[in-house]
Amino acid sequence: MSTTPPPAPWKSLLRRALHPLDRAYALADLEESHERRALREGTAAADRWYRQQVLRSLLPALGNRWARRPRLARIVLEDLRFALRSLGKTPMVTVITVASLAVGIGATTAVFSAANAFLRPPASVAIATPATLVSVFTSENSGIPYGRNSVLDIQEIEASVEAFAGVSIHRLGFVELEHGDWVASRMIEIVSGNYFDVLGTQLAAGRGFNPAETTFGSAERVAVISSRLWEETFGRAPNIVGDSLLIDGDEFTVIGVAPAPMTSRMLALRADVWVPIGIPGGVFRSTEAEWSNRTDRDYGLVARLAADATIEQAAAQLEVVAARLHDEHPREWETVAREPRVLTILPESEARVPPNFRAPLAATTGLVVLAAAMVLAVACFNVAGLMLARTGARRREIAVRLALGARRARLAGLLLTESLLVAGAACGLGILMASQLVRRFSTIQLPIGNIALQFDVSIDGRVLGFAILVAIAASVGFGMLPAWRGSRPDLVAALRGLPDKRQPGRRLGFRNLLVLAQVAGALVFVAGAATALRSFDELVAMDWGVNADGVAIMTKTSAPELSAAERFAEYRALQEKIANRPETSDVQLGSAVEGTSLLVDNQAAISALNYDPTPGESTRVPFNTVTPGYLEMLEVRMVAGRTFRESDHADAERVAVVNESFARRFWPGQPALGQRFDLGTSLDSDGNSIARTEGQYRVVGVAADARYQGLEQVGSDFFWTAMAQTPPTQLMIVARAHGGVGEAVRVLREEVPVDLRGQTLLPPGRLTDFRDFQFAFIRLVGSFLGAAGAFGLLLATLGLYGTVSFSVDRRGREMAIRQALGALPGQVIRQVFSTGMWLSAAGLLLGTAVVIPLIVLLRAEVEGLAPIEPLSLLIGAGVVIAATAIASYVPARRVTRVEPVETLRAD
Amino acid sequence: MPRRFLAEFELYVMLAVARLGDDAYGASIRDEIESRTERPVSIGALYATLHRLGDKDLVTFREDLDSGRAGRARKYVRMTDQGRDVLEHSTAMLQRMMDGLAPANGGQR
Repeated sequence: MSTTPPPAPWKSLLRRALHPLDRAYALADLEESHERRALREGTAAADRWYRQQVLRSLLPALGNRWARRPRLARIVLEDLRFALRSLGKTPMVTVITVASLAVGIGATTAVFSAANAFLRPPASVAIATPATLVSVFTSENSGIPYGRNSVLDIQEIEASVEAFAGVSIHRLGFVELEHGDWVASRMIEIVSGNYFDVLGTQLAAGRGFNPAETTFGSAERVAVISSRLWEETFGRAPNIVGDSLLIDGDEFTVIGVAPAPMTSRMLALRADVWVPIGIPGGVFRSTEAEWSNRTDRDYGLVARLAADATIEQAAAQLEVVAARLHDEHPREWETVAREPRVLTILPESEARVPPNFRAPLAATTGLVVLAAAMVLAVACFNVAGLMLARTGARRREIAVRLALGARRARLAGLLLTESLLVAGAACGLGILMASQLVRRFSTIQLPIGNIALQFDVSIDGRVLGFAILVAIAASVGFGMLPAWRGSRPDLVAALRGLPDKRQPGRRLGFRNLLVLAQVAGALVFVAGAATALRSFDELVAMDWGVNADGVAIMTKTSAPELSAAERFAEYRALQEKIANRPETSDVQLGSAVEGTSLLVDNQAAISALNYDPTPGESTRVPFNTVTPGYLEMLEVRMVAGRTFRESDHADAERVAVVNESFARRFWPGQPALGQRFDLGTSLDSDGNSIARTEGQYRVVGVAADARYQGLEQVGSDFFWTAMAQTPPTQLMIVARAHGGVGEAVRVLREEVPVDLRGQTLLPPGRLTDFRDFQFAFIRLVGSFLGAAGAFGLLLATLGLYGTVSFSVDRRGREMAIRQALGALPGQVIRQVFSTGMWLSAAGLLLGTAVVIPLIVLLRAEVEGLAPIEPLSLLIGAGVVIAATAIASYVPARRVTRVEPVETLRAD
Repeated sequence: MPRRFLAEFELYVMLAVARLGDDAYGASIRDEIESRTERPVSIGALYATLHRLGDKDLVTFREDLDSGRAGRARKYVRMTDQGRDVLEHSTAMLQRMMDGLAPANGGQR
């Protein structure tokens, strides 16, 4: 007889519901009945019946399960209900506690996670065996070893270093992407054809590039896009391969999709598109000339070690290559100090943050991390203070419970529930805050154009875990204190609301120490935030030597085949065209622009008749080549002589304006006007030849010292030459418009010919933006410190208020007795007040003692940090005193308003 | 010996066990009650009641993991002497309460 078994899922459901003792029998019983019923009424009816049986058995079984363990569930529910009610009774304290902890957790987690991502970019899982991946650097002109490489040198390395199984090239930059209506500025990596092969990256879809695409001019316009771009922009369209994308206006065919965790080779910066390096013109307008120029060091090198090779072997082989390159190309392979350049090899994981970057980055991020950690510390102080204050106030309640026979374990459970509730709420909010902040940190909007640096930052689980642990420890630790303390309380005293006689002389107890710490913390935060903000203000208000307000700038290069005269004529025509626009109020030309090192890269070696440089001394001085009217337009301050005139033309005597520092250096103690000097080879900062100029320059004017070269360079040498005499190959157009800087930017965009679009190195923008870009990072740090300071102060003040006012409330009985004995309300308030004031005075002293050495120490580490502002200390002290005053006054007044008898009777 | 009374469902179960004799086990007891009273019996409730009766020493169990033609696990139930006493007492009391009631009133609950 074949039988149908009961429906399996229902059977397993029933199995769960049954008591293990009966399980086998009950299942067998139902199976038997099911079988009989199936024979009698058919399988469907039997199954239906079986399901009903299961349901019917299940519901009472659930009830039984609860009933079997009545106590625990009931106790937990009861405790939970009670804890909620108890927390609800003091809503302010609860809210402050939860908010403090949440801010502490959120800020710490987000900041630590971001710092981690900046300083230690995660080893991307998109890379196979990261251990054998290395990066190679050519030392820079300045001698810093971690510079980029030229294509020719990379080819040399590829051919000569046997320890490398594969050598690939990469270069990071910004491009404008366009697809349909969607336009965005994103980062791109231009890579050699074997790039993905060398990294061992498996593409998520489509193909990568082929090695032939490395050869200049041989590559098609093809692109690999990031998974994120695929998702955000193309909605994960399955037919993405073969679709097209505009990169800087050129159409590229998408041939592949990179795997999700793929980042660029720089920090944790995110790249969204990869294109082969061999595209002629390419997205960086690379030319054959650039490729064949050994001084065009724009490319990163990432290599895979051969199977049996070590990094030491590779280093030794690189040393040989570097020596040979220096022999063969001495000019290109020398640093400014006339030493041979070297090749440096690093494991790829360490190369993402080059060692020369690491120290300053670590110092600044360290500062931010310190601030975040302090926010967490203050949060814990707050929790400690508030929890202790609460439990102190509940001494009586606890005593009643103990007197009524509550067991200590039960009491502890109750307090634990309360503490965990607080910690749980704080953790939830904290995680929410951390995820918001992390999202915020992962994009840094640059002030130039619509460009954002995007980092791969995600919440660091370990940090989050740590912050949560600290929060729970603080909350539970201080929340449970009374359970531990209350083990042997003086019940009688507690019930009567009298101070515990067995804890004599506790006036300066733990709670007061907490108030002290909070006051000190608040002061540190105010002083810290004020210092950070002031430092930033000072940076912005710094004397840049030029008036950048309302100035729009744009760069443009001229065709290399033009002669100097033709070039100058072209420039003047362009200047005239822009000047003829009715909106334009002024337009001048230079080869660079002052106020930022980003845009000053012309340098020339100076030789003056009576000046003998010491051995190894560089006489290279940055300069700008300008049209007459340029110095006036930017309001460069002249201290002697004249500026440039139209008469300083190509055939006239060569003239220059120098700054005071230049004059002091080359003609100490003599008037600079009328002195003569020569330009040696004219080189940019990488030692690349721009133009060779001959002849003698006569100093016709002296300008004041200022930060012509940007932030770091105050009072360094600088000079100007006349554009008609030495027209540069790269032009900087500087314009103002009647309608403001926005209008000036628009005029530049419209007037600089469209067919030159490929030749504009930077889109038109505001000079102030380019200038402020220098301290984008400092600004970020400053704004974070300011925010941390504000948060910290808020927390510390709230904590202070909570702690003080709670302890004042607790003294209601004492005050009532005093009043009953004839003390006037004013006297009572004064007494409470003076206690609070003494505490905050002591805290202020402590805070000052902490903050002064702290800032002195930090000033040694962080450049541009303002000195301690006495005013900020005063403001901090004012805030603290006000908070203490309010925290003492309000509750004291409340208590004294009530009839003493009421207070005493309430006990 | 203190008389013990049975709750209603306990009484049903005891009566079914008494009827089934040696063949009393979960499925047969359930079927017996269902077929006679047309009242649906959940297997969970039945076992809970059997355990309660067992705790009161009114029934004993004999477990057989491989019983009958199909080789199923069965928990056979046997009434103890004490169980028989209690059942007799309960039914007698029930009988006494029903004496003199018209069948029309007493037959319906």
